[in-house]
Amino acid sequence: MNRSTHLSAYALDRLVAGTPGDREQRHLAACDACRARLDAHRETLQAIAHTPEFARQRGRVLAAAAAAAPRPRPRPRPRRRSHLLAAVLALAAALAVVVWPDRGSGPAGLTPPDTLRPKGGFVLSVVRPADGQVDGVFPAGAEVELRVGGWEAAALVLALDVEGRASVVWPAGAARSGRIASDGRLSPRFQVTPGDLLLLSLFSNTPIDAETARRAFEEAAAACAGPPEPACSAPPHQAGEIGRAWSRLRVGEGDR
Amino acid sequence: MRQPIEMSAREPASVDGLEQGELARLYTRHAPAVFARARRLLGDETQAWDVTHDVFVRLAARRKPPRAPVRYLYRAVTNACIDRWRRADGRWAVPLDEAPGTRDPRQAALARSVLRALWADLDETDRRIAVLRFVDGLPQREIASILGIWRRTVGRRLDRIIARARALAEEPS
Repeated sequence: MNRSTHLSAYALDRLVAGTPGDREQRHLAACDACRARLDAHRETLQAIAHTPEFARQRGRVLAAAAAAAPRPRPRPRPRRRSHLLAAVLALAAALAVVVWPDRGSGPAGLTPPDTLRPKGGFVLSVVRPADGQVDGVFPAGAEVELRVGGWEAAALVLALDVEGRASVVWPAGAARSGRIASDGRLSPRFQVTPGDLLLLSLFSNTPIDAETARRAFEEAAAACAGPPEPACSAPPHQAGEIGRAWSRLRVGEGDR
Repeated sequence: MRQPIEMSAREPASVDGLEQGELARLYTRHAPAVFARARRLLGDETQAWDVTHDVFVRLAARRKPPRAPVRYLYRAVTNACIDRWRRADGRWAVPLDEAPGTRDPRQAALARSVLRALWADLDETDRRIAVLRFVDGLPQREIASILGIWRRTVGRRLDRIIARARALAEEPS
């Protein structure tokens, strides 16, 4: 059958959504075949809407949208400050700019460039793509994916095991931090092996040296009594680091 | 320490972009079609749900709902799928003729083969047009409407794509 004279998939979708054009409605009124196709298409979509996966995905989208929403900004105060105060602040800012190059003894990468700024809080999550579970308890053998948010340039993800050994998780085998994909997913995916991990992501514009950061993480953890915790296992600020985020990979029975 | 994200079917109170109720309404009304189309294009259910998720999360960030939701969602799904193919270096994860819900599997698989051969030669707009024409099977008028470009532009670009496909077929392998 030549479908070119019949309604397209797009036209059928518009009819199901209740937003058809005149042309589609006229055609539908005169075409038995397209009415039958429309009924079949409607049934297919209804079947999808009644699957448990649809309900689960709907909850996932609503939760993700709510989590991604920035906090409401405080209302700007009415301008009551004097011009004198504004002038003083401007002078202070100018002095800061002039003085800054004299602090050149520190690492150059510590100054975030003006072109890129954090979009919100830095985030590191462990997600099981098979069911969308985020940061829960995962069974050994589960396939998981690391996702980052709040930064667009580069990241280095380190893991600390319960015995205080640090390793570079992402980018695997690389000497430096890696470029973040536009959707924040750090590929490839990982398979969960027995043993909990404390995960640390360092975000940067310029590459962070993986081995230096790994060693710093291990040394910080060694000085820490008890199980690895962000509060006492945090390595010192790394050259090039803009911000960091923590997560945990807990291994257990989980939701299979 | 950051709290893990709670996954729940319960609707949170509000979001900064679209109102939560509006987002829920749009999802209920359009997500089945979005998923069905993504599944048709990608040939994989898991990836199709991922695309559906990404498209609606992006939609949620808008201040207003789109004036023509179906048109907006066609464009968004096309872009999301092309993005996935780009990351997979033009490879399709699962043969399309094995995908459930495909209307005309043989034709879609053939179209996909042509697209795969051409993929490196096409710019972003050509890719969108090629997907809408050869995989979705849409007429030029609808492609122009979805992409917001002149119908004549669609026709001209399609001519170029087809000429390139013919040239490719005549090249010695």
